Amino acid sequence: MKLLFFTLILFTKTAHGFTLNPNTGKGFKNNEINLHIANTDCSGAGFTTTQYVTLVKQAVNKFWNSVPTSSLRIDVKGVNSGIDITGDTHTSALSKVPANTILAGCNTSADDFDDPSILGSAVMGCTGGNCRAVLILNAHPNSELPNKSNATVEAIIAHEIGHAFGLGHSEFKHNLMYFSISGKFQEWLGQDDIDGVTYLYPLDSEAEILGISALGSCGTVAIKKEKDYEPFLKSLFSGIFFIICLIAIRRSVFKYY
Amino acid sequence: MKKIILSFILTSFNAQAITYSIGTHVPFFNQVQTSTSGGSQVFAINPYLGIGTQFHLAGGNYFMPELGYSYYTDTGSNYNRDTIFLHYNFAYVITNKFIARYGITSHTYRLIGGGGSQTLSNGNGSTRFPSPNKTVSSSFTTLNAGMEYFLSSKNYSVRFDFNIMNTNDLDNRAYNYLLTVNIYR
Repeated sequence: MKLLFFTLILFTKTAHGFTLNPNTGKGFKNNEINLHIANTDCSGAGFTTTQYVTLVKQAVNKFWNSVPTSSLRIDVKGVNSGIDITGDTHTSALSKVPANTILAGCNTSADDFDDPSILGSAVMGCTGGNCRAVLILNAHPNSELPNKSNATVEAIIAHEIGHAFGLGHSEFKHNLMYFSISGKFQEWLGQDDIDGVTYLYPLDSEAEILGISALGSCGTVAIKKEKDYEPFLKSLFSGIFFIICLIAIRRSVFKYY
Repeated sequence: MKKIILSFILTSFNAQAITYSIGTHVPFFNQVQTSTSGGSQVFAINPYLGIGTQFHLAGGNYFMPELGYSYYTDTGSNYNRDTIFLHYNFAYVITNKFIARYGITSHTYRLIGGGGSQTLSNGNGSTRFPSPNKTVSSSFTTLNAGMEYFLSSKNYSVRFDFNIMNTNDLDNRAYNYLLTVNIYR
């Protein structure tokens, strides 16, 4: 009875559950996404545009570009001086973003930014196969962003980038994609974050089934394939075939000895 | 690659035994956040089942391929996940109780979406977010290093295998491990 009780405790599920961006329900068609910084004034958020570029790079490298089960690679291109989103709403800012690109900026007037507790927001839109997204940090004079540490600002930016490439919120507070940064320290991604980015941008190389990439291939997958269940089935059947072959060889060898 | 592996198998004539393994697989050792204070996962119960065999190569060296399957018990509300493993490990007998293991493993990590949607907090209100609704697989390869200790009966052993992910990216390296009990027949 004690053993049964102990087993039940060990196998009790702790819940997870990632969700997808409510506007699109999907990610970009490519796993390599360019991110540009808009030519906007971020002083109300507590940093210069140059510092913003650094914060975005650190956020991307610390969180999203380091998931070993995902092919997502966000390339931070720096400031695009041709795009200014000062005074824009989310919708008008989104209309200025080139296809298959994420634009990051600051402003004082995006939806809800008169509420100082709203630190940032992101909107993603897709037309046909082309998606684009904009993330805006709250640079309103009442914004609470200047009071946050660099680590917290990085986590906020990473959270908004998560929305920008297709993720929704997580129900559980320890995940980066939880709706609020308040009362937590985000050192790593949570399992929901890892599974969400893996779901949208899986590593999908047939070569991986036999482990070729570990022996030195490029590893870049530019376009996701449609039938995402195929690698799993190929892996399963090639594994079963492999083991059956080994067993057959073993039996035939012993037969002749 | 298939030809290389097949020819390797065909030239390995000293097959030894079938191995059945049961244990737990712990992904993202110390690199997935589990608490609001930044704590990370160091152990988890994710049942692992494996079947494999051994081929004597030369001296104390063996080739020990194995097919494994792990189901994650900590998944929940709107998706499930599991992994198929193809281990291509080699072993070197250190003593009559200990062997060192090394090689590569091909992982196929599967996320099985349950569909539907969830209403979650968003800013000062709430929004209905769509849940994953399809099955997606992600394949990747790890480098392995491990140890196996044989119990007194010699038919039973305990094994620890450490998998290194992102092998070509020093800054973003991540680790899994397998802890199993093995039966040799």
